[in-house]
Amino acid sequence: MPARPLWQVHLYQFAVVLSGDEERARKVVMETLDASVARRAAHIDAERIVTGQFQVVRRRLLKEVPQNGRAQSRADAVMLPPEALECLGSTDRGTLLARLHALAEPGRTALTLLALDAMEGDEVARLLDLRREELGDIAHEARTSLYQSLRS
Amino acid sequence: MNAKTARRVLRGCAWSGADDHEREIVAAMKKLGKDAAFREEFERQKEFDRLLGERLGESVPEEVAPRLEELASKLTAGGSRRHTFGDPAMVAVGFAFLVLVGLIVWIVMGNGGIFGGMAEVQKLARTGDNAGIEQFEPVETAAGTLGDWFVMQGFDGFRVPRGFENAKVVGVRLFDYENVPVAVAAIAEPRSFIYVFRAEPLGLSLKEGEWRVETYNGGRNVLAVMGLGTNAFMTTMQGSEQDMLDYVRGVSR
Repeated sequence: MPARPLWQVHLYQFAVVLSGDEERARKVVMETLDASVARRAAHIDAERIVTGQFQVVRRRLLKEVPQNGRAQSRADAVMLPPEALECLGSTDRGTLLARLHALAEPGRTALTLLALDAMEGDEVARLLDLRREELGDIAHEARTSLYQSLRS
Repeated sequence: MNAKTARRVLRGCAWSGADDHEREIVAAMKKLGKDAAFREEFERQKEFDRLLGERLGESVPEEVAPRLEELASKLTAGGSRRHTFGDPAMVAVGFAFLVLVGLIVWIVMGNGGIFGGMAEVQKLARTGDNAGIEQFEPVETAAGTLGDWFVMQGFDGFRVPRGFENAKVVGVRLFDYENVPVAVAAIAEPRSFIYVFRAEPLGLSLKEGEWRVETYNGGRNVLAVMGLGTNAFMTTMQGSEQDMLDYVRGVSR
């Protein structure tokens, strides 16, 4: 299958969120793509190659950048209130990036990939080695945590 | 699917509707789509994600964009379709495969009294162990570092249980077993193989962290397999069940 349009932009934004640092994100993304161009197996379809880039960048940044602990998935976490949208819209981009960066894994990755619409939900679940409902739990937890962090 | 599971599934779906065609999403929407309170929550969730994506931006710094574009084009150009799941022929093959797997599971569980899929695992082990040395790409690395190599060959999710990260790998290989991609690493000491593959398509029922040990090849070889997320992790070597138990317990300690 063909790769999604703008996937490279999404990869870059994803790296910025995970690294919390544009310079490091740029370095890791460029190095990953460079290495992948050299090592690419010709028979693999474009969509899988692209998903692989997100996985490699994520793995590398989680190794290089200190992370918060693993998010606890709580299926019955509170619902997002209507104010959450206003809160998100009125926060400047720098603060938003910092708060998103501070979320725990793997919720941060799940929410960022879903928000960027970088890949379908089942691809995100596969990338994180989660079942579909587990992905929902951690994405929801990340949304509510982000909202609470922005509100405080 | 009950209402609680449907809600959990939909909390992880794309705001754009890109995954609306997925079986689980369709089933979840069927369950909850008429629930007004849920719809309100769901619409807010999608708007939250969409707005967050919009705030993250659709652009990259000007000095990065040209090189990024160039590398992206090189990387995605010329790929051929490997998995054509929408193709009616592939659907027919897939269906036939599922019937076959179901039949095997039924026969094995009915006659052997052993856990679902062990005969399949033994067959996979025999197939994999018989590979010639020329079928492996030589490497010198630790098992815990192989994830990226397999990703670039189109295999997602290669990871090993705790204790196996430092196993010295001398060769790697990817092959298809009954249409299921299998990642293999040859370990130098003790001489053994490790395998990672999706458990579900082979009808395997495995618990995370719980080893199942079986001999095969007339008792000359032994395997240990366990669940690892949605994958199965297997290691094989020559020896008895006790040899394998000593090995995996020693490694995991």
